[in-house]
Order: sequence, then C-alpha cells, then structure tokens
Amino acid sequence: MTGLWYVLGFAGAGVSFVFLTIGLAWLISHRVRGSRGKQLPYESGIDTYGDTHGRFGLSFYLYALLFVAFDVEIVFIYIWALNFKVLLIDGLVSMAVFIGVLLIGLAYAWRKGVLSWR
Amino acid sequence: MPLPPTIPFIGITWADALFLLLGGVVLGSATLVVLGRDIIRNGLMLILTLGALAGIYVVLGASIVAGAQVLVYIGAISVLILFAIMLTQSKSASAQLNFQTQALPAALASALIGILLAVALGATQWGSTVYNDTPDPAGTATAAAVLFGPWLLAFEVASVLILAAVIGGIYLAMKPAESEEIEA
Amino acid sequence: MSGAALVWARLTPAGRILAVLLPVLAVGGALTTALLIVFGGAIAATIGANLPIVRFLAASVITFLITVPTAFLLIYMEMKIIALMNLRIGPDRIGPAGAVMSIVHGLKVLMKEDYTPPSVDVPVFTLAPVVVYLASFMTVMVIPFAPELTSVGLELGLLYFFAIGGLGVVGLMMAGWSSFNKYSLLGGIRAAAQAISYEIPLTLSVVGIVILTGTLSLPKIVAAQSGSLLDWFIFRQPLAAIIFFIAITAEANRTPFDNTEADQEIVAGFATEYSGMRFGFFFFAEYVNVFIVSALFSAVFLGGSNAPLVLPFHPEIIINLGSLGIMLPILAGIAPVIGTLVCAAPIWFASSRIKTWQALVAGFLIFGGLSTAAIGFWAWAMIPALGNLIWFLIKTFSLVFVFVWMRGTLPRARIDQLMGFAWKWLLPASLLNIFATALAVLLTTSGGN
Repeated sequence: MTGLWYVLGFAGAGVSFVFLTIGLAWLISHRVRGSRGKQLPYESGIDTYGDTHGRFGLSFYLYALLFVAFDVEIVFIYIWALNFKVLLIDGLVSMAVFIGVLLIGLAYAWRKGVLSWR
Repeated sequence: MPLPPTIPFIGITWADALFLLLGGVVLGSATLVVLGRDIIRNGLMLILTLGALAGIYVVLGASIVAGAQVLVYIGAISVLILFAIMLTQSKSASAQLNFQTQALPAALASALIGILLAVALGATQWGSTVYNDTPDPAGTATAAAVLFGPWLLAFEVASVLILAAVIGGIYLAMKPAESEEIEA
Repeated sequence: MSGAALVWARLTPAGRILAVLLPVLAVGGALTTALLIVFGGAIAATIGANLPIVRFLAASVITFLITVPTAFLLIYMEMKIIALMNLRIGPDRIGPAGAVMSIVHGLKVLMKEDYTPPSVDVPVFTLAPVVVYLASFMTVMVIPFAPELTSVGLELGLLYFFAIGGLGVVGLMMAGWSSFNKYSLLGGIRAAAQAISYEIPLTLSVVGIVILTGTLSLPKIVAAQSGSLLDWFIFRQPLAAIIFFIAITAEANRTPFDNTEADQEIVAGFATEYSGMRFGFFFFAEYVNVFIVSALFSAVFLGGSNAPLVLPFHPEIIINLGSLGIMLPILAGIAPVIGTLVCAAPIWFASSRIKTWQALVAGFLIFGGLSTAAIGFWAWAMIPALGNLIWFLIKTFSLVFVFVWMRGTLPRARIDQLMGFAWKWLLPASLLNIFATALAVLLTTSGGN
C-alpha cells in the first residue's frame, strides 16, 4: 500500500519533470517555419514513397506470441521460486511438467523456423 | 499536526480515495477504449485501463497479482495487441473503425451483459468483502500452497492451454510461407 | 541622469545581476529567518508528525537529483573513454579534460527546436518519450544504494523492476508508430521485438537467486550476500550472471545489441522524427537505463553495497569537537596555514629552483588532499551508509565502464543472430540454471534432514 503511493508519486513526479522540461525548452528554443522539405518525413533524402504503415515481417508477431507464453510462465515460476523451500520435490516435479509442456511449444516454433529470422 | 486519517470535508479515508481515483481511471479509459476511433489510441487506452486495474489490486492487498498484471497484461499482451494492430493496419485501409453494421447485435449483447452485471452487483454482499490489511509475503505463500496443492491440475492444464495457443498461432501464421517454399 | 542610473550604467552585466540579486537575497533571507523563528516550532512539529510523507518527498527529489548528473556523467564517460580507446583526444575544451562537455550538450538539446512534423499523431508522439523516460526513472525507486539509502524496499522489488522496465517497450512502439516514418516504425518494432525476446532470459536468470533467498526484495537479496566475497551470487550462480549480463546489455540497447539505432540501416530508429528535448528524453532515458541495469547487476550479483572484504576490526574515531570550546574557530583558522607551511617546507628545501609561491601552492594542495582523505576516512568509519554507498557506486560504475568498453570494442550483431540467440541459447540455459539450482537446493535440504 505504501509502495503504491510511492509508485504513483514517482510517476507523477516523472511526468511533471518531463513536461516542465519540454515546456522550458519550448520557451527558450528557437523555431523556424522552414520549407516544405522540413515537413516531410526524413527518409534519407528521398521523398516518402508508398504506405508508411505498410506490412512488416510476421516474425515480429510470432516472437510476441512466444513472449506472451513465457511471460505467463514467469509469473508462476516466481511464485514457485519464492516458496520453493516449502514445496520441494512436489513443486519441482509440477514445475518441470509445466515448463516441459511449454518447451514443446518452443520446440515446435524452432522446428517451424520461427526462431530463424526471415 | 499529522495528516488527518480521512480527507477533510469529504470524510473518506486516503486508501478509499485512491481506490475511487483508480476506479475512475479504469472506467474512463475503458470507455475511451470502446468509443475511440483511432485503433492505436484505443490500444494505448487499454494499457492505461490495465495499469489502473493493477493499482486497484495493490489497494486490495494483492501485490503479486498486480505485478503479474503489469508484467503479463501490460508488458506482453498489450505488446501483442499493438503488434497485431500494426500488422493489419495501413493507410490504404483506413485506421478509423466503423461499427455501424453491427449496431443491433452489439446493442443486444451489451444489454445482456448489463443485465448480468446488474444481477451480480445486486446479489453480492459488499459489506463482507471489505479489505483488511493482509501482509504481502503471506499472500504469495498462500498463493503457492493453493496453486501447487488443490489447483495443481488447473495449473498444469494452463500450460497446455498456452501450448495450444502458441502452436495454433504459429500454424496459422506460418502456413502461407510454407506453401511458398513448396512452390519455389 | 540621477546618481543611481549612472552607477547602473557603469556596471558590468554580472554586476547588474548581483545588484538585483543581493537585495532580493537579503530580504528573502531575513524574511525566511523571521518566519522560521515564528513558525519554526510548528514546522518542526508538522515534519515530525508526518515523517512518512517527508521521507517520500525526500526520496522522490533525491531520485531526480541522482538521475540527472548520472546521465551527464555517463555521457562524458562514453565520449572520453571511447575517444581514448580510439587513440583520439575526445572532449577537451570545456571544463577540466572536457568534463563539462556533456552538460553543454544537454543545454544544447534544451535550446534546439522541438519540431513536430505535421504528419505525426501528436498526442502519442509527445507521450512516447514520457513513457520511455518513466519506465527507466521509476525503476531507480527500488535500487538499494545502501541498506539505509533505498527509496522504497518493495517486497516484490525485482518483479516491480521487470514489470516497469517492460513498459519501455510500449513507449518505443508508440514512438515508432506515431512518427509516420518507415525508419521509425521499423526501429520501434525492432526495439520492441528485441526487448521482449531478452526480457524472458532476463527475468528467468534471477529465479535461481529467488530460490536461494526466498525473496524478491532487493535489499534482502543484497543482505543475503553479506559476508565474504564467495557469498556474492556471481560466484554461486555464474551461469545466471552471464545470462543476466547479456540480457541487460540487450535491454539497455547497448553494443553489440544496439540494432534499434543502427544508423547505417535505419537512421536513428524510433527517434528519427524527434528533435529537441523530446529527442533528448529518449537518450536521457537510455543513459539512465545503462546506470540502472549496472546498478541492478551489482545489487543482484556483485553483493550490492557489501564490501568485498569484511575488515576484522571496525575503526571507531570519536571526535568531540564541542570540547574544544572557543579554541575550535581558532584552530580551524590556524590549522590550514600551519599545515600548508609544513607541507611546503620540504618542497622548498628540496631544490633551489622551486620558487616560493610554487612550494606554497604545492603545500596547500598536499595539505588539502591529506585533510580531505582524513575527513573521508573518518566519515567512512563513522557513517556506515557512506561506505556502503561508495562500494555500491564503485561496482556500478565499473560495470558502466564495461558497457562503454564493449561499445568501444565490439561490432554490432546482426538482428537474426540476435533474436535467435535469445530464444535458442539464453532461454534453455536459464531454464537449465533454474532446475539445477532447484535440484541442488533439494539435495542439500534433504541431506540436512
């Protein structure tokens, strides 16, 4: 509970610091309207071409999918590790089964070539 | 003079005020998720909703759930959602959402959920679920004892569920690439 | 023209500033003193009654004060050390050995135009650096600088660290998406994919330590490493330390894992469209991140604020300055003069070519150094927090040096190698580490019974 006040307080302090600094910068920095070229996205001197939010590699999405699977596991494994000295052999076996099943998913992804960048 | 235990003039405790504030953030941002027209901003609002919900978990004394919420929902699932949105969006297909064709089913569904919620809210004894300050370490010990005791099967089945999701996702996503390989 | 105006006209700019400031300061000081005399008791009572709130305010302010100079110091270290490694001179114009250069860089960024391209999604574009900065600033909160100097020793500190650290990914994706630039989008998505891939080994590598200590609280993990050098987790969990180090390098986007800002490939990555202070915050956050991950590594694996050797005795130097009475100011006035003369004498006698003033300056410097060392030793002996803090900072900055060193030495990894490495090597290795640790704990516990 105290921790939450700290978290919220730090978040508030951080946000206000950022905005105060950006505001200060806005006050003392110079601004030039510039030409049409200034308004273009910077793409190495070439006029922007095509759709900016075009499709990109599907592999990114698959990494995110694997990440979700193992992130869920992390929450369980932390609870397990915190109490491992109580759970002992039973805990070890159940966690081994749990992770073993997840590793099948990793092995499948590996075999399907998800882990090799394309 | 020390800080008064309740907020002056309103008369609610500071923890309750925090709860109300976080609840307000949850409701407000959740409404914006549904009503917003720019789908990326909706996704970001969803992150705010989940974050405020994590705060509510802490107020209710379940820090480990809050940690899990931030780690899994904000850190992982939101990223997955953002990736999914970014993968499927493009300027040629407008980023603005259009729900007009589904107005009638949506109205029916929301009416049904509304009735369910009203029944649930009315039937619960709210006085008996008041939060008593539980120390945190006991919380994880209990969670572990329950998770690796009576709910062990559910815990193991959860891994199978995740496995199914991973394999299904990969199977659906990789299919076109494979056929390309066969053609080439 | 009146007399006052004539005086004003003859003053230099600095004199004018002083002429305005001095009366203001005098009046302000007098008012503050008067207020303190009148309300001092009430203020002290309020502070005494609200110690948690005062502690909270002090913690937030001090955390700010840590991040800003740390970032400047890191930028300077990076410029100077890499320059020396490349046999260049590096910054040498402003300040001693160019030490003020990074602050000038900061001011330069502050004064640059903060341009918002017309095509961007303005709210998301503006909030992205805020999120990225928050994700690194809020993790400073749980870092145990010393047992007495931790902002808040959360019970789930390590989980909090990883959870909040993961928020940075969202900020990077926001920046990449909202910029409406192909480089930005690619950079943001690359950064996100890299961060999520290395977050798994990062979080899994410390599980062995959680098993051994049974806690996620960083001060308790540091306390579990007190004792001899061999109690440090880098010696008890070497595999975890290696995985953790590689993963934090990737999380902090440092060479060889800095593909997110690979200038040759994608310009500046997610920050391509940013300029001015909003750009500055991305890099501020980046340098704070380097400090934070180094601090986390030294807290979790290098014993944090524990000294590598525990002295068999503890020096206790009790100096009661009050007993000197009226002699105290007299001694304080005379001691530097006599000390300087004593230190200068041998130099002056040593060679007739040394001029008197040179001998005096040298004597003054030697005396200053000696007395600073003596006071420092006294403070170290009498204030344990200071000693702990110094050890922690030595370890942290050694790691920062290693990061800079790697940047000066290693080439950038290719992105396919990088992603494959996280999933094919680090993840299985960290799982192996977890189960080996668990098995070892199991065997030793049952053997004990």
